[in-house]
Parts: sequence; structure tokens; C-alpha cells
Amino acid sequence: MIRFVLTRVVLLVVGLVIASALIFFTLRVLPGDVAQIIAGTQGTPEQVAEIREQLGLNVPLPLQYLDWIGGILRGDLGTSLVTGTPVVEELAEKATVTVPLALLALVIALLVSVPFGVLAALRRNTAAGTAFAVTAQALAAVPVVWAGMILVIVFAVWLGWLPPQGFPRDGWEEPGDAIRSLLLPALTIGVVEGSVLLRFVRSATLEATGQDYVRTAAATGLTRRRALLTHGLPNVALSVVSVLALQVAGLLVGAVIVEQLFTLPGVGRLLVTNVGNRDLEMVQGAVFVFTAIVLVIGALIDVLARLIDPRQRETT
Amino acid sequence: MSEQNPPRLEAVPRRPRRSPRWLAAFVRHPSAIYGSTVIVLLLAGAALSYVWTPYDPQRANPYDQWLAPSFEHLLGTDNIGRDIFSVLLVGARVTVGVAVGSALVAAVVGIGLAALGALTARWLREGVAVLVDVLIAFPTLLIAMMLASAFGGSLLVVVLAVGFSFGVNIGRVSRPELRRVRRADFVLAGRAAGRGPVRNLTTHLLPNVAPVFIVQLSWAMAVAILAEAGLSYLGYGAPSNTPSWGRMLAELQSYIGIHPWSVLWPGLAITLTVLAFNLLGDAIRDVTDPRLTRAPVVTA
Repeated sequence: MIRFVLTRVVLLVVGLVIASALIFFTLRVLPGDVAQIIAGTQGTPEQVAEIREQLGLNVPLPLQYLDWIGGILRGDLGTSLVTGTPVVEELAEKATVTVPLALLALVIALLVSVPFGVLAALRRNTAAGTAFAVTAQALAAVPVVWAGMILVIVFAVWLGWLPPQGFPRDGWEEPGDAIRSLLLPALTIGVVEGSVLLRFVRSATLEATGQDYVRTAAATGLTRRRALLTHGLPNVALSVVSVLALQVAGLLVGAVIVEQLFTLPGVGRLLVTNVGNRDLEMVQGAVFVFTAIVLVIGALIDVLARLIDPRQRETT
Repeated sequence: MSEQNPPRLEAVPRRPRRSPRWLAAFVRHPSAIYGSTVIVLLLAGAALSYVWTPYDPQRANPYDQWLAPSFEHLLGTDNIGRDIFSVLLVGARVTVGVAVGSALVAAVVGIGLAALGALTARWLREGVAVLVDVLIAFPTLLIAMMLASAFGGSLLVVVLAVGFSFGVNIGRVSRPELRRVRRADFVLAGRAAGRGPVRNLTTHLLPNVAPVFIVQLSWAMAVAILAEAGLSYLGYGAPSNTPSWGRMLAELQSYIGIHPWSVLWPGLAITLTVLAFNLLGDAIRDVTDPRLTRAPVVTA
């Protein structure tokens, strides 16, 4: 087990290095002179040269990269080229919106997918089971933007229960208000991602129903449903946990769009604004943090899956 | 390899003819019927838009703002009086283009990565496997935004980002398939007959993993259409003079409080099309996967 964890950690580090290099060099090698952009169209060549000097753009690229990596190790992602604030500071501030949003969305996605997914599998030959499966299939095809708009129309415009967009200016001072403004965005991501997840839960449950150990358990006198719940579900949980790693990426991407739709001051909106400004420092910082989160959670889930699955534990 | 009977070279590469059964199962599969119908309609709509649309999709008409659906304007008109149905028809071109373009890029990237990851020397194989595992952690939208921050947003960025990230996916999924097929007798026979690695790949290996590829490509097109919608909404996709379903959503967003119905159509068009590609992929998987064809086909 320890060996497995160590290998996984090494792989994670290799992954982070590759990811950082890809992000850094993609953003540098591609055309567009950052100094020119900052100086604006009116900038004189001297001004541009000065900015280049200030930003350390005259240093060879590999050295710039090492500098950036060194910064990351010290917890420093550079400074925004536009606002001049440290990237870490700005990300941390925006994360107070995005992290609760993503967690809330995850909870909603699980609440949607697990019970209905299992139900859809257990009742697969009834109208209700088919209805769940078909609905999930259709909802998984809905663009996140549109899902958000429809929820706004229903819950904000028609029913007036929740605010259509925005986030309290004083942040979490009034936790009730903050959560109220996160509910619709989280519901948007949660329902769409939950429907994707539901299909996995359903097929994992279907697979479990056909397994020998469930049949054996049923033969020992348990009802089929009890046999499935006690012996099959742990296996379903396992495959759902491993799909969750991929879902994290979906949640974060959903956050980017939903924050724009609901004008929430989160990391996603920060990213969208700065791609528009061509603030490379900020974009590479934010993209790296996003990717690192996905990679780290992927590694954690691998380890977790091994911990909770006795079969995998023995094979090490 | 059979020890007693060395296989006759010309007989081995032929696959058993079972396409009629495959096809028969396909045309009866409800998902396939829905998927193919919608995709044919989509292609027809996009083609039709080049020769005819009910109204000029670009012309603003201040007297005809926000008309309700009627026989004259099937789906009503938008904030500047354009006929929504006409804009949808023209927008289908972008959808088709993005879907096909992304699938092409995905196929090239996917085949490349799968071949590198399955058929080359061990150190390269392992290296590619690690690389693929890292690349898969980059969400499509982030790749697109990175490209957009360097190039500015365009449909090409959408196509490249989706194609690349789904290509990585395909590479990962088809690598084990390719490795499995690689050991098959007919591949060895091909080698024995003097075929080079590239020719062997195209004549023997790819046809055998084709079903897996086609299923993945169908899903890639679904993702591409969703990505176009998301990126055009964020302003990094279709340029402002190109009608696209994603742009329509972005343009109509400010009015959902007053004219909620207008936003229904582009969203519905995207959903139905994405669903079509998803279901088509599912159907192809169901009818081509030998492990699944024997079991009763589970729909939806």
C-alpha cells in the first residue's frame, strides 16, 4: 500500500511538472507580445522595451519557466500584469465563491444521481425506471448555459424565490444571502453533472445486479433487493468514486460558465475576464491551479479507491 | 498461433462477413433511429440555409421585434427583429462545421496517441501513457481559453481545443484495444508478408478498432457542439457576424426576464442535436460490441 501511494505521488509530481510546462510554453510560444499589449497601441518602442525588462521577458524562456516553478514552490504565482496584485491573493479571494459553489454543486449532483440512478437500474423494466434513464440522457445533453437560463426564468423571474444573478457585495458577511445567491448556479451545474453521473450509477448498478455474489446472496435467503443493497452497492460506490475524478473537471468547467451567467465574482469569471485582457500571468496561474486541483483529486481518488476496495489492497 | 496448421496468408486477413446483422440491429435500434433522423435534419437544414431561408437572417427589422411564433415567423423574431427560424438554420452550419472539424482533429490526435502508446518501444509507450494521463486532466474549456488568450477567440480555437482534448480521450480508450489486436495472428501475418508498421496499422489494426473509434467520434461531436455553445456564450467562439446557436443564447440572455420564450429555441436545438450524437454513439456501441450484442439491447 505504501509503495502504491509513493508511486502515485511520484506520478502526480510528474503530472504537475508536465502540466505546468505545457501551460507555460503554450502561452509563451504562441504569438502576441505581452509587453506590446500592456503598453497599448500608443506605446513607444522604448516603453515596450522597458516593460519587457521589468517583466523579465528578456531572459531565455526556460529560465523564465524555472523562475515561475520556483515561485509556485514558494506559493507565489506571479503578479497580475493588469492590476498588479499577486495572482495567489486574487485567486484566494475568488475561491471563497468558487469552492462553496463547486461543493454545493457536487452535493446536488450526488443527490440527483445516486438515488435515481440506483432506482432507474432496479426498476429498469418499469415506466418509472425508463423515465429516469431517458430524462437523465436528455438532461446530460443540455448546455449548462441554457440550463441556467431556464432555472433563472422559472425560479427567479416567474416564482421570484431566488435572486436571478449577483453575489452579496460584502461576501460571506450574511451567510444566508450568500448561499441563496449560490443556490441557482449550484443547481444548474448539479443537475447537468448529476445527469451525467446518473448514467454511470445506473450502469454500475445494472452490472452489479448480474454478479454472482449478488445471486449467491439472494440464494441464501435474502430478497433480491436486499442482496443488491448489501452486496452490490459497495461495488457501485467504488465505480462511482472513480468516475468522480472526471466529474471534478466537469464541475470546474461548469463553474466558469455559470459564474459568467450569474455574474458571480469567482475564479471562473476571473479567468474569463483575464483571457479577454490577455493577462498571461493571471491566466497561467488560474489554469495551473484548476489543472492541479483535477490532478490532485484524481490521485486522491485512486488512493481512496484502493483503500476501500479489499480486492485491490490484496494485489499489491 | 496454431502450431499444426500454418494459416493460409490470403485467407487470414478477411473478416467474417457480418455487416448485414450489424446493420439490421442498427436500423431497429431506437437510439439509432432518433440519432440518425436528427443528424440528417441538421445536415439538411445547414445545406438548405445556403440556398434558402424564410427571411434574411442578418437583416435587422425594427418593426418586427419580438413577434410571437406564427405562420409567418415559425419561431417568432428576436430583439432586433430577425426571424429566429432563419437564424437557427444558418447557425446549423457552425454546428456542423465545429462537429466535423473537431471529430477530424480528434481522430488524428487519437490515432496518433493510440499508435504511439500501443505499438512503439516500451519506454516511449510508458511515456505516452503518462502524458495522456496528464493531458486528460486539462478540461476542454480551459484548453480553449488558453488558446483564446493567445490567438483571440474563434471557431478554429473551439475545433482545435475540442479535437485535441477528445483526441486524448480516444487515445486513452483505444490504446488497450489496439494492444489487444496487435497480438492477433493476422497482424503477424501482415508483418510476415512484408508489410511495414504504418501499412500494417492502416490495413489491419485500424479497421479492427474502428467501432471503438466511431463511437468515440460520435460522442466527440456531441461534446464539440456543447463546447461551441459554451465558448460562443463566453465570447470566445463564433465571431459576432456569424450566426451560431451558442451566440444566439448569449445575445438573448439579457432579455430572458421579458421574453423568456425566445431563448427556448437555440437551447432546444443544441440539446436535441447533442442528444442525437450521444444516442448515435450509444447505438453504434450496442450493435458493434460483441459482448453486448448477445445480451438483449438495453435502450436509453
